[in-house]
Amino acid sequence: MIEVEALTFRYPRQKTDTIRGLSFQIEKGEIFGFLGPSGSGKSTTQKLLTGLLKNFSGNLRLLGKDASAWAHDFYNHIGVGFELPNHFTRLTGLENLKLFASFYGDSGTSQPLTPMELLDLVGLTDSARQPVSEYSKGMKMRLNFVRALINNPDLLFLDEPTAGLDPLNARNLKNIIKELKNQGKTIFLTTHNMYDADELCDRVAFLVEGELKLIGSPDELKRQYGQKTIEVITPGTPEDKQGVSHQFSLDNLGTDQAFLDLLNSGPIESIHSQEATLEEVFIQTTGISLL
Amino acid sequence: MSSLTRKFLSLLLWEFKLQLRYYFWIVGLVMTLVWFGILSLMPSELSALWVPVLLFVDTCTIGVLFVAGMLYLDRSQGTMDVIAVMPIATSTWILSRILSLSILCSVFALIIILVRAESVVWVRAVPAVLLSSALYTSLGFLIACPFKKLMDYFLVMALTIALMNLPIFGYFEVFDSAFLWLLPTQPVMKVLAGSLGEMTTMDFTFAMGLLLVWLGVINFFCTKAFSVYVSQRMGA
Repeated sequence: MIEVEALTFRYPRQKTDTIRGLSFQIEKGEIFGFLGPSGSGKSTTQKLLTGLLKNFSGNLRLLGKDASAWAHDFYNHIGVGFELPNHFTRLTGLENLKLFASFYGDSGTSQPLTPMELLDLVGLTDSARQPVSEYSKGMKMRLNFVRALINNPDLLFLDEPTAGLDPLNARNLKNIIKELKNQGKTIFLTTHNMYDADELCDRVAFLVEGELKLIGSPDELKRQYGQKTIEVITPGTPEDKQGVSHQFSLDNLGTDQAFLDLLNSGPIESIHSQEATLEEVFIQTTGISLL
Repeated sequence: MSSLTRKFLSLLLWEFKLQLRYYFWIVGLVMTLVWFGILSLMPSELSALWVPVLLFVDTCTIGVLFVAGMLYLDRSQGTMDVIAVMPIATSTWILSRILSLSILCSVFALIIILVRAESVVWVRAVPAVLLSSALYTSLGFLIACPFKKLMDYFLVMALTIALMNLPIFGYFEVFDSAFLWLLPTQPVMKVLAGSLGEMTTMDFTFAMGLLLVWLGVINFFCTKAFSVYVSQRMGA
């Protein structure tokens, strides 16, 4: 779906490259997380991938064609959900969707969901005829999200889709993203939210100062950068309610006598593997905190 | 009807809807009523002389101000970012915006002509007013592109309008020079005057032709300016 090779970009009148030799591929049906601190080049990369910025060096193939070969019909096949709400605030939510749906016309792209069905998908049915100026930030973000789906795109770019949403709506939205993946959609997800990335993404890429530092699946990275141990917590003394921690290596765990004795000796409160979190992987790799 | 035509007409309808929601039509109506008030204070022979000038100033003010206002609203709401990733060419969107605002300006200008002008050549007046409005709207769009804040735009706009209004001096024969023909607004003044007074067909046709050329040139630069100052700076 997306093939990027040695992608480099510099803004006019800047002395250094904003994007430095990025290379990666995204397969059809994959959710690809693009993670990095503010100013790392995530938005610039997204602008390059969505054709808003030209004059780059390197190779960029989108939906099986060289980026330079695409004209405006490229936008019939993609959907873009922006980080900040961007709507015509004097129009209603329904009018906003109808307006943008009218840009597509009979492009040949199937459009299984009507604007009203899309609003229903994110719980905005009751507010469909309300001016967007009266929407809360969360409602605007949900409207942002469904607008990106209005043309039933094959390739979806989502920038911080759960930002500003309450846990219930964030859960609903993540379920929709998973459903889109099941339908074979490819999703390029830009986020700071490591929990979202961990839950949703097949693979993640860490971007720092325009360079890709690491790419891999969240599970693979967490295992690779975590400790190969487990932590067993047994009950502590009545004064120490936190319990007692016991560490065991995963190597030959089944024959580790101390571990087996502990299991047989009394109650166990919890057993945890010691894999790293995605945030820890990021910090270990880059030395930079995402927040 | 081709897909492109249908998209363009749909865009045009939405532009009108947005203009209504932002009260542009009400502001246009109020301005027209103000002009009527000013004209009604003038003796009729003076009023006939001033109508072309008033149209010149009116189309200019509405066109230049409203297009900047729309652009500013798009920027502040972030809707420009969304339009940039829609399957329409930027030039099509710019054209729909300029045409819709030109129609808005033209409606009020034609109302002024209908009510106040005495000898009107309608086959000249309608295209002359429409093209004049389109030129000012395009000019407003071009000047507004580099500015993110409306206040920054106003200073440059005021200077530009002052320069572009120089043909009024030519109309009143206070100052007439070949230099005025270098201004894109000189043919505007000519075609408006030619629609409401004496002008040979050849002179009128020449002025209309020149106006069309200026429109083409300014719209070309509108697309370029939009690309450089708006599209490539989105989210930056």
